[in-house]
Amino acid sequence: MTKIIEFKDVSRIYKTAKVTAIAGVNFEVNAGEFFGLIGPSGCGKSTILRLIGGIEDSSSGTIEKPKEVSMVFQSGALLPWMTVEENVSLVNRVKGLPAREIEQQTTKYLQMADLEAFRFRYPRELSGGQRQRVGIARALAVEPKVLLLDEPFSALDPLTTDELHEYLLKIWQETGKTIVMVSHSIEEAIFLSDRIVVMKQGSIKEIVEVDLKRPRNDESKEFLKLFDKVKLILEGNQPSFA
Amino acid sequence: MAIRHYHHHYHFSYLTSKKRHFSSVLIVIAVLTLILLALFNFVTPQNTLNLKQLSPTIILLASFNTLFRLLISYVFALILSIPIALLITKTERMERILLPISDIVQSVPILAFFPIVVLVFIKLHATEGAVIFILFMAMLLNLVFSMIGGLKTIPKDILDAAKIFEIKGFKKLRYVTIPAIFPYIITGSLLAWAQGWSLLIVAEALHSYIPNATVGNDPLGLGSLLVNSFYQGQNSVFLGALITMIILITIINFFVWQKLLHLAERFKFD
Repeated sequence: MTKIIEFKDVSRIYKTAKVTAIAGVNFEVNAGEFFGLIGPSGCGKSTILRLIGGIEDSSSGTIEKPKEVSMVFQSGALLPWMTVEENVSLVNRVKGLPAREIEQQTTKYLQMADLEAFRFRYPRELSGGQRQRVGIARALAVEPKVLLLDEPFSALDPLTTDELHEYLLKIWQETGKTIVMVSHSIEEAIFLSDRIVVMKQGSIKEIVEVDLKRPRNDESKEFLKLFDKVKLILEGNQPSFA
Repeated sequence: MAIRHYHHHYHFSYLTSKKRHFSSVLIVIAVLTLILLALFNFVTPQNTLNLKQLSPTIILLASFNTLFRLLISYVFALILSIPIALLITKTERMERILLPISDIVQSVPILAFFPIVVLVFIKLHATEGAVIFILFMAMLLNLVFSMIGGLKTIPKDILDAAKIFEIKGFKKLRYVTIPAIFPYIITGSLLAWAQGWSLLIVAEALHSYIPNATVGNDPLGLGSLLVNSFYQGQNSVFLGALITMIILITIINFFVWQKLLHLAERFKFD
């Protein structure tokens, strides 16, 4: 397997706030892998995503990553004054691609996201799940090598979340993209990922292999066993009495 | 065919019908006439010295002049306010230095500068410039502060998205920043025009700021007409100017600001 992302002893310190977001982080992501990042709020998982995305720069260490990276945001981050089509095609228009190519890319990913019927609608006319699918279509339309997802389903209801999990897996299998997803849900991370980085207080506690066949059953014994394992790491190997 | 269809939808569809095109041609002609008439007046200025009776020509010319002054001031203020607001909010450091300065400038009444401004422009033989400058300053501050408010409320995710998708420089301004602050530009513009109308009465009646000057030195406009007809006891002229001003403000509010405020709704983040 070829690695596509590598973090070597990476730290990120916010000087003005005097906060160390992550310290001495090392990991590799393989090409085509579904890679999960999990941990409590403020553990630095989103910082890792922002470093891969180039939104922030590391304070020390080295990061190897491809240039073609795109991201799906928790809020969707769609532009309310643009239609679904305009949102999805925006980046390619800004890049100045030929009209025919923009049209092809836009249609391809709108179809994949099952959004053809909503092409000329505005984001406010869509449901939360549909908006998130527009966000995914927009991210894919730039043909990235790595797709970053920052808690994309945390604001959605459970039914929509299940539907979008299936959709995301379908896209991942069809396109073969590398996906790095931040989540605060252990079930979600196990359901989707090949490997999960479990983080706490700015450092990696453990990288857990999810050796379960897809489609995964979140009520199976193996699933629940893995769930307990991740939970135990998050709780600091202390048995929970809650 | 598919491509044509695709591009067709890129433009606001309400601009494409023939009726709309026709009405926009009419608006352009009206605005050009207004500008030409006003320019003509600025080359051979009329004063408001002898207002013996209500003349529709004088009222019309005064309206053109006043609208022209407001428009010129607004256009300059709008063009300049964008880079100023962007500069102030560019970095936290810049904001720490520039925001208190503009706060102080804002809290000083703009008319306090007027006598000095008038004297400077009189030296340059450009009384018209004094009126426009004072209107411009008042409008500029309203626009800048509205825009700063808008720039500071753009969601972080949107700015991050622009960064990750490498939308920067002029393209970021065009596709992200300006539309994102569009509702704030409209409310700022509304305030700016309101301020402009209320300052007009002082700004156009500038003879009181010039040593040994008479009303003959005032540039013709609705503001100077109001002030001077009142002091000369020309009640019909005063009433005519007042009604014209109210009608103009109402028309502009109905056909410009209400439409733009409605359009701005589309640009708001949830």
